[in-house]
Amino acid sequence: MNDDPDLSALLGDVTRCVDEDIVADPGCPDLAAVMARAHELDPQRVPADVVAEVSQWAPVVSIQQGHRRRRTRDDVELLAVIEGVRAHVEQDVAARMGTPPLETAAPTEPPPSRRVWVAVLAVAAVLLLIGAGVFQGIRGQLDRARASRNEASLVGPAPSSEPSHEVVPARRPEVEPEAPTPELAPEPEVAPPLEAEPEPEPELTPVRTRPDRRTPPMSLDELDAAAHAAWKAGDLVKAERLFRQLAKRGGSGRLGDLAYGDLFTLARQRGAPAKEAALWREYLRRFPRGRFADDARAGLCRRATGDAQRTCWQRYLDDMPEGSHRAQAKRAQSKVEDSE
Amino acid sequence: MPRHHTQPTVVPLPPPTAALDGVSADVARVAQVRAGHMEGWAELYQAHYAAIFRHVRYLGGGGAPVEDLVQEVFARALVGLPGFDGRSPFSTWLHGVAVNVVRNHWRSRQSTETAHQRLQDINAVHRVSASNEVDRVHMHRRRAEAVYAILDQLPSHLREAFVLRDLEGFSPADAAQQLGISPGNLSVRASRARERIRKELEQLGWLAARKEQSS
Repeated sequence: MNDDPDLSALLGDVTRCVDEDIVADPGCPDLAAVMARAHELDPQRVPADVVAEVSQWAPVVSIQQGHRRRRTRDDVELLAVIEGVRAHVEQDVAARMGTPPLETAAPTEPPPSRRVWVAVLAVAAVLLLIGAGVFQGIRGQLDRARASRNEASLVGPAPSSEPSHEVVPARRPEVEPEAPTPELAPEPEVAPPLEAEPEPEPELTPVRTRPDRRTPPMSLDELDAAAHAAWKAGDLVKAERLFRQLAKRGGSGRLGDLAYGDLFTLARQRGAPAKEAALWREYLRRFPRGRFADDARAGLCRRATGDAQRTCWQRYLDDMPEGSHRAQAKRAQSKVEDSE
Repeated sequence: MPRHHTQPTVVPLPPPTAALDGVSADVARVAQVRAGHMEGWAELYQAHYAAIFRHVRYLGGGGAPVEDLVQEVFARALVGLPGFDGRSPFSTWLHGVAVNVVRNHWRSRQSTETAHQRLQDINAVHRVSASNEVDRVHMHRRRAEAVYAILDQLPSHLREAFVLRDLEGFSPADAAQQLGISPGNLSVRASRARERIRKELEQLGWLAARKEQSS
């Protein structure tokens, strides 16, 4: 396709970034909104009664299939890495439960492809979520939630019971179609978004390691490199500890700011939604206008409920009228108005 | 014009599609919709949402309202379903609808000055931070933004060919079918786009200039 290796390498970065974005935000399907828009485009072809009928169905489609990938070489590499991550998760779970790990393929060295690592982080997050879920007995709840959601797939009328936590209520057909809600959800294979996970969450392993005062402290760059190396090696506890140090020593500067971004990702990877929320709050106290402030605020709003959520989104819109999550904020507000 | 309204007593529901392969299942689902059963559309939506989301994200770049555009794709596809003649797979046709929707989006926001300014801004950030290892992740992101900012300046036919071929990795045949052009034309467009992008990246310092190849 492209005989220009330099350009190919650069484009590899581009696809990696885009894939990363897609994994982080795979979108939130809203068939009712689609139908409402189709009705708006052509009321004869898509009459109001059809829109009304569909809006009574389950409002959220579960996306079971992964994103289409066309690069078979990467698929092979990815599978190899997934096996490694899976083995790590099983070992982690087994260590926590005091049982021998399940048989998995031996961890493999990461492949050279950079694109793969993007997916790896996401997969690691997914698998660690599941692993932590086993430890806490959450997996059963996840399965039930998945089953519940599958039952609610769009093949017929929605059950009459209240929608489960992860199901976004359908928008009424007469509402102006608007962008569905972006969710900071993990890979589509995972049933519920993190926001929907029940409390209590698995506690992170406490960090007991104390810095060795006999050795000179690492520079910030060294600290960052060590944190990423630990992360890459799968030592999430150590990575978190090092990023914590980096956040502390980086102060209010760029390094401190960036370290929080990694801490957010780590918290998610370790399946700790409450920890993540706490980090967001801490971050916003230190960096109210930081580079992750938009996402952190939106994340907190998603976790809020009832009036607190409404207030949260309103403040978000007031402070960040051009924020990345304004569509979701507006949708949340319009839902409240609809119900009033 | 057929009225899309569920009347099971008049039009029997087509057979379930679960046991069929992807393309056959889509054919059956389209038939369902044409018979007035919106369950078929719900299944099509479910089956293709992720792929279209990805497609739109690639075509639209980071600044595009992806979910709005995806919604628009499915809404327009539903309205335009009578135009689907089945000569190509439904998926290809749907991807083509997405290309049109994103193209309209690009057109509506087209401003060469703005695009150029965006490129300059991104490059300024790059020059400040490129030497710092800590920023490598963010630098990759800046690179991605730079490429999309350059794409912003390209004519749509070059941009689309490039995105489909070089970023999304579609085969020439698939990409050409989505754009409604020949694979040869597609290859030419993608090649031209590549040259322009490379030249721009060289000028901005993201890529080293290529050595002249001796003939």
